Amino acid sequence: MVALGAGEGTVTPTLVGRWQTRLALLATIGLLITVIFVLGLRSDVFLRVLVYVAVFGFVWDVIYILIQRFRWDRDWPAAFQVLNGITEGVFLYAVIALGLLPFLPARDVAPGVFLAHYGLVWLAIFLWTQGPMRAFFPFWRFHGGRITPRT
Amino acid sequence: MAELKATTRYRLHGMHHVTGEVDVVLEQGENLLGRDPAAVATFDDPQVSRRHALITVRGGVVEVRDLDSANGTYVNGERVMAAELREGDRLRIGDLTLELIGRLLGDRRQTQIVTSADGAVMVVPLPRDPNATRVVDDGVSAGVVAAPPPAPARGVVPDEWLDSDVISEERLRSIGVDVQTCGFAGIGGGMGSFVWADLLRVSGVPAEAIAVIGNEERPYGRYERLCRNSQIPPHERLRSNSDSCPDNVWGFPAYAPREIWRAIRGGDLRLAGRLLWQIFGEPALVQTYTPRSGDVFRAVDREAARIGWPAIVRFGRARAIRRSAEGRLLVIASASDEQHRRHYAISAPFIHLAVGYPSLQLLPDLAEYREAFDDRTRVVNAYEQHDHIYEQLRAKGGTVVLRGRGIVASRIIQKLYEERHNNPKIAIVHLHRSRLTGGHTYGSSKREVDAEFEFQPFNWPKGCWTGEQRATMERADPEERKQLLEAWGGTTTADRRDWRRMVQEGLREGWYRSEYGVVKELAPTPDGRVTSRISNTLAGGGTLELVADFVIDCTGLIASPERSPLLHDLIDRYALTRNALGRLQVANDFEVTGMRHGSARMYASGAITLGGPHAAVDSFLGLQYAAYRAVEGMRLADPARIRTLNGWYSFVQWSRWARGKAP
Repeated sequence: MVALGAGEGTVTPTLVGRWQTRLALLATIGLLITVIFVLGLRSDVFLRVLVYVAVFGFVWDVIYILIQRFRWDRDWPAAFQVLNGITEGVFLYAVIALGLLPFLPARDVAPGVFLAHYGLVWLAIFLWTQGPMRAFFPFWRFHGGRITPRT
Repeated sequence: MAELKATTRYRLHGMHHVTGEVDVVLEQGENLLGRDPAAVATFDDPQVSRRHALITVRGGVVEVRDLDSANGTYVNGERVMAAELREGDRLRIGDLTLELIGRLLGDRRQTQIVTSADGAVMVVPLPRDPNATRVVDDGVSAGVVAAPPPAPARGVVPDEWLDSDVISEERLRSIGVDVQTCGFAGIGGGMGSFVWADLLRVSGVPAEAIAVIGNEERPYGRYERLCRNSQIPPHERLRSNSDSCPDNVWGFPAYAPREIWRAIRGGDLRLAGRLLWQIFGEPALVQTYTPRSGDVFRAVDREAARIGWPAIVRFGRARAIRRSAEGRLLVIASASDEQHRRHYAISAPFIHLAVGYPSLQLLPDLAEYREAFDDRTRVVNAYEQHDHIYEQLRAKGGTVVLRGRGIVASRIIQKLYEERHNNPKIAIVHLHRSRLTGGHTYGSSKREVDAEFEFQPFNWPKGCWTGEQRATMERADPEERKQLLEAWGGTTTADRRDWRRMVQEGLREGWYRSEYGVVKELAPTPDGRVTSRISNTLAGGGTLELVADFVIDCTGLIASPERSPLLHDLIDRYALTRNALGRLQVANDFEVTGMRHGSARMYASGAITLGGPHAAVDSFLGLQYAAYRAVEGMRLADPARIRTLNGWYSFVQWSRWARGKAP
């Protein structure tokens, strides 16, 4: 879900970089947008969706890194990031709709509202990582997306 | 004390605009200068005659005699047939100006091996016995006289002073050498120095605290010349990533969005749309975006003005780096011109060495041919100026043999393809040692191969800059690093559709073909062409004679430190360690740890560090990475001078960049 890749304005991510960036951006930009939804629609279901995005993300990132190993350049183009956003969203909605997730009953999540919330969080983070992130953290990209550089 | 018989050993020292520094040791007796194999040094310069001038050294007398050279021999700006040379005289042949330097041989002290505090092993001279008589050279006959030596010319560092590991700044000042002390001294003055100085500036270091010794007015001067020679005019695209911005350490906005913005403002929405699609889909759906060289240079000009680069650059040629008695590191530089001889020195606690590639590479059989037949017009290196080839091909047509299958070869093919529109009688034979069967493999991935070219968007896999391979390389030990470089490296070209189309068209129409085999020798033909004799292994043995009008060597540049007098002297003087590739050994933060002197430190970047912690050292982003690590190292050593470029402070600096305000 977090847009990380070697496309324009981003980095060539490592696994730890993917995890750190995903967590950090969900906890900031993602949380900000979620709070707007929580207050606007008077429902904390968005917060629970956000937590699941982060939890499933840990596994998604492992899958992405494994796929990345088959790429000679070990990069992750912007087009892949968009694809990731779609697959992660579809998957998450499917497991919610099937009632497989504890603390998140299917009846709480309307498809339209889910799309708006998830879509906005994804888009905001995607655009942020395409460049503005680097105005604040110029060396984030030099460490494969790690927020805490280890040199 | 044993009596030493002292003689002066003379050297000619200078700078060539393409090949870098030139250092010629003159022997007693006759020394031929020119392009003849018997010459003491040969110069890659078409203006130098085969037998250009003769230098005779007899004792302390040095004479030069012109051998009816085409372009003449000049001493201190005057054309001469014969003249006596004195130390400091400037001799010019062709484009090359050489300075005569004397060195006292009898003054070499004995050395001892010591281990410094940080574990580095060094060779240092034994302390000099102050009561001992000193051997000096009176210029004609050597003798033993009492110390001190005769005063040298004012403002000039005597050569024998460089025979010592530690030099006193005060003593240099006493002989009229301008010694400037500053916080940060850079050596090189090219792109490596520029991105380092730029990072320091945006990290809160004032321009007055930085001095960079260089020969170029603009940081991209030499780079641009090499680009133009290898057929990258300003409108052509470099092999560099959109967000590798030497003018902007944040890489934001990158070159692609800047070009999109210009296209929108210029009303070219088609171009804007194409570029947008390119940065979205690269490299999976569409070929990778790369910036135009002219756009990069303009951006660097703007940033150079913003950070006060003209005030940072000190024109000159670094001759030696020494430890100073005052606890700093000292760079001694020459600012001599044809009329005056002058040295200056810069002393700083932090030094950054970014001298680039010391020399051009020529394949051994081609180098042999050039030596033997004194022919620099038919056999050239692609990085040399070689427009005469295209002019002749345009007028008369002809065949070109290309050697090397990298990106430079692709560029030359493109140029020849374009020239074919003027004259269709141009043919290309691409000569390879062997057939390219499969691409390099690493782990589960493999590099793509088509029509004898191996493809990769940039000169290393992308993950080498900032991703998985960067971390792998940093962790690896020296021997593993060498293996990793072999796995990831090799000769590649960019997967550009137009280039692939040109090659396919050429193969179909018959004006482009590949030949295979090992070149035994090259020889001129009676009708003014050049023939390559090849043992043709693929055709089942036998010899193939390949006659062509020109041979272009597209194999590149050399980064071995021996080719640079400055590096050679430095490694020799302080017994610096080399890495598994023979280049300068640096730590993971690019410090040349063997140069530590009290709290003073030296860092390096660029091609001279290949084999170290980073693979992509000879690229814009690689230079920025090396600068980032070096500046971080300097900041940890002296936190008061440098601010951490992160968070809000970074954003403030970025917004100053965006508004074009000084940092």
